[in-house]
Amino acid sequence: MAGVKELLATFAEVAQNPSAQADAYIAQGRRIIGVGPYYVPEELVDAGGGVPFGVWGMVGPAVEAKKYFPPFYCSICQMTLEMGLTGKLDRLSGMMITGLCDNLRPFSQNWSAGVGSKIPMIFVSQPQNRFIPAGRDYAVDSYTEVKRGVEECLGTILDDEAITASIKLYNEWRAAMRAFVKLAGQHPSEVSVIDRAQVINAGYYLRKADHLPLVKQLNAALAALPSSLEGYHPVVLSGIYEDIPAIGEILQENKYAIVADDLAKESRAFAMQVPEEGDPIEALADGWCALRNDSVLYDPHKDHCRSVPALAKESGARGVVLLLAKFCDPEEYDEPITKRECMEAGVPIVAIEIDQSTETYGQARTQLETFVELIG
Amino acid sequence: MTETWCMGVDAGSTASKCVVVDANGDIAATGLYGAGAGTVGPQRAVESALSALGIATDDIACMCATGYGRHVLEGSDMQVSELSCHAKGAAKLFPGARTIVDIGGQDAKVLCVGENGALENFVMNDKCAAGTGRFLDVMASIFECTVSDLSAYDAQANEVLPISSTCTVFAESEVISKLAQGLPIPDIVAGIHASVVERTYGLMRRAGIRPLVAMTGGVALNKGLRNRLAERAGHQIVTSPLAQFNGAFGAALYARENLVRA
Repeated sequence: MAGVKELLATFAEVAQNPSAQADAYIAQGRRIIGVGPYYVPEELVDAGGGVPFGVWGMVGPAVEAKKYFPPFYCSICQMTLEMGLTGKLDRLSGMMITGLCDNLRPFSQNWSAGVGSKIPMIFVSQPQNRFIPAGRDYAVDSYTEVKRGVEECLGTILDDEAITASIKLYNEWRAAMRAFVKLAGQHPSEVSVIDRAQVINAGYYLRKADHLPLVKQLNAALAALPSSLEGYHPVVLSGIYEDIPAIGEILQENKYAIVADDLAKESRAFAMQVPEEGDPIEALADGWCALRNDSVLYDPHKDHCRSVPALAKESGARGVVLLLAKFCDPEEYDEPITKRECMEAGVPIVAIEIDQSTETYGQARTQLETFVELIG
Repeated sequence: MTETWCMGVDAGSTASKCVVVDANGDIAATGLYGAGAGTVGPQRAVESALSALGIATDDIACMCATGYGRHVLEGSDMQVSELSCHAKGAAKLFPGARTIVDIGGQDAKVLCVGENGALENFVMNDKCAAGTGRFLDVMASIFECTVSDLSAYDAQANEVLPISSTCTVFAESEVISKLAQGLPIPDIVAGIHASVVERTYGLMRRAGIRPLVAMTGGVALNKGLRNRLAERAGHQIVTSPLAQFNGAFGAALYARENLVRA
């Protein structure tokens, strides 16, 4: 069995070369479907033999996308459109985009206008009202439409058996990722902040059937090692995403250990569990309707904000680092409430604003260094 | 008996400050130079403080660097973030202070400290220069005066003209527009101060205001602005002629602690 270092090198290679990974799958005769944020039922792509390929923007300046967006706009949307407009996503046979927030909805239209003739969009319309029968009905109808879109892009017909098999695979993968997040948090010496992000990002570029065995091996190797948490500063990361290299480096240099996270791209996504019985489209809709604790989801009692300090306490974190995605309305609405909940629970919290177009993080460095000094 | 000196250097974004403390942690000398990180500023500030005491670098038992350029300062034995240093310095400079407002060259911060002076919480401004010392520099350059002259203008104001608190560039346009309309400079300056106060008060609200409130950083010496902030916050705000050295003082105290532990 491969050791931790060898496995991490494999994940790093994939995470750092997504294009090479896409080429490899295309060479196998597979079609690639882009998958944007959040909670896309990518099991449908997997069931059709396609490759769901995570597209969450990239770090860099937006140039072409500026024709479509004002400057004060979510950088994930800006940079994903930039990638589409500059040919970086030309190997995609389709692009799945949700409408879960006020940034994603206009983004979907801009995608249609700017890139849609080249890379067709599969719009994933999910109901925010997830707790009422009408919401579930809407989700079922919508996912039926999504299935049709995926079939068109893949040039195949999806059968229920294949979808159910993919649902089982994804459930197993998400469980393995939940286990990985816990193990990585206890082994910061073996799995650095950047290693951790690369393991997770590789899952966005590999088929789950390829990623899962590697994650299982890594989990087994880590579970056999004693915890190396001593000397590190255990924290919970909250927000949408964390994979800004400069932020990862600062966290790593200051010996942060991410013992748990509340990131949309990470543990919020891994929390989903889809029923494995019955009609698979209804099962996917039920998986969606069961989601909780997320700023981008309808959450009338703001349970998400309370869940953050609870997660910190449960995981033994000494504080919460809130990576506030710039111009992300849902996160910004939750921020003051999350901060208040954390303070009332006696959990220190610091908010760092991030986006994919910022090159220097001097202030973030100062804040993160101070936070380490504060939490000890 | 030879004195054991410790030094703190605050390599800020626009100015460099140096403080040397004695064995009791009391300030023995200070040095200030109007150029910040990445320039000769830190070295000049150090030379100024050493010269005032008549000692050399070798006489410094421990040097702690803080501020924007703390990681690139040659000769430092340790680095501590400016937020922690400001909390440390303020605990000694302003005993009993629970809220520290520091407006520096490129950032503004509010620190909440406990009864023992330990840092409990903090907030910083976002990346925009509005509400910082740089904002006042830009405004002073429009009036062809120094930042310290702004306070005198404020004292002559009859009313406070509204100026944007959102953006330095927008605010500069507004100020030029008001000058073109022939509006009195003191009233415009009062508006500029009010603009900084609004930004700072927002930070104070986010951090939580607990008396005693102390103000540090070079902007603390601007009496007009300080008074307007006190009025807006509804709390007395104390400061000191050494306010600009508070970060370097805290760094020197960290150096002293490091020496004691060693």
